[in-house]
Amino acid sequence: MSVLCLRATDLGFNRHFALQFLWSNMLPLVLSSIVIPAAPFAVLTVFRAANSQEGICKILLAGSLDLSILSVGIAGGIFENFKNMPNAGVYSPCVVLAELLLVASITLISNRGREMGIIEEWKRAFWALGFGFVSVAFPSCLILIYGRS
Amino acid sequence: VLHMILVALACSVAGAIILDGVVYLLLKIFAPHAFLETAVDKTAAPQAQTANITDLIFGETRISTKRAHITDLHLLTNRGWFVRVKIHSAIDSLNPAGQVFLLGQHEESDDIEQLEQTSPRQRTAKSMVDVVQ
Repeated sequence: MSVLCLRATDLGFNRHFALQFLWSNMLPLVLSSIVIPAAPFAVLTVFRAANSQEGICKILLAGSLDLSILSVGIAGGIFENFKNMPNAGVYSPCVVLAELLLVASITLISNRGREMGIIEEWKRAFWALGFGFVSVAFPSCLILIYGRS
Repeated sequence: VLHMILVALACSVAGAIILDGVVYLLLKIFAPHAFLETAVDKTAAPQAQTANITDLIFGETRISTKRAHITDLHLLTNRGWFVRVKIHSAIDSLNPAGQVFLLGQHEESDDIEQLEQTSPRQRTAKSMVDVVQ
């Protein structure tokens, strides 16, 4: 172990600097792509589960639709955070359009997934859930990582 | 700006895959029956529920009776058309003949009698329920 540490130090590896670099760059990344989608998903799923007697897959489908609706609101922050950037007037509506496409995909999978070939309900739930997570994480990443600069 | 969008999209897809995996693992551990939950089409007539139950068990959810162990069957008759099936473990060694074993508790005894009138397989299931309970 000590031999390995010595070699890493000889190569110019600074553990403290690496950890600091990772922390300062990964924290907004992890926060925006994992924590921010997971927190409202947990809350919305608990609300759905408390107010309905449906199965788990139905609750997941409803929760992912809630996530996607929430994400359209998050995407509104794009316009405020990127208004001073070049071509912001072009790309910000594109992001909102992508969000709306994700919402449409979730609705399509929820209601027409069986006809699209996703027979099992849990697979439909996980596809919709994945789209829901992407729809929340995408504007969050943009705002949290790039919007502050 | 396009680069930013692509990076953010990649990060969000990676995060979604991670979160999907976490949810999958949590459900696998704490609610394995969720992977075989399904509902009969809401447009189905309530009086056709026994036929839908047969389709659900052997058709729609594609449960192979050779590898599935049905432990619970809920018939929520107040809504008429909703059926939930829970599967827990494989029974290859227990049941090479591919018969269905219903080992769970049933909420409505009247529905079990309806099941008895549907098919030989479900009559077998009915008799197994009697033995276990």
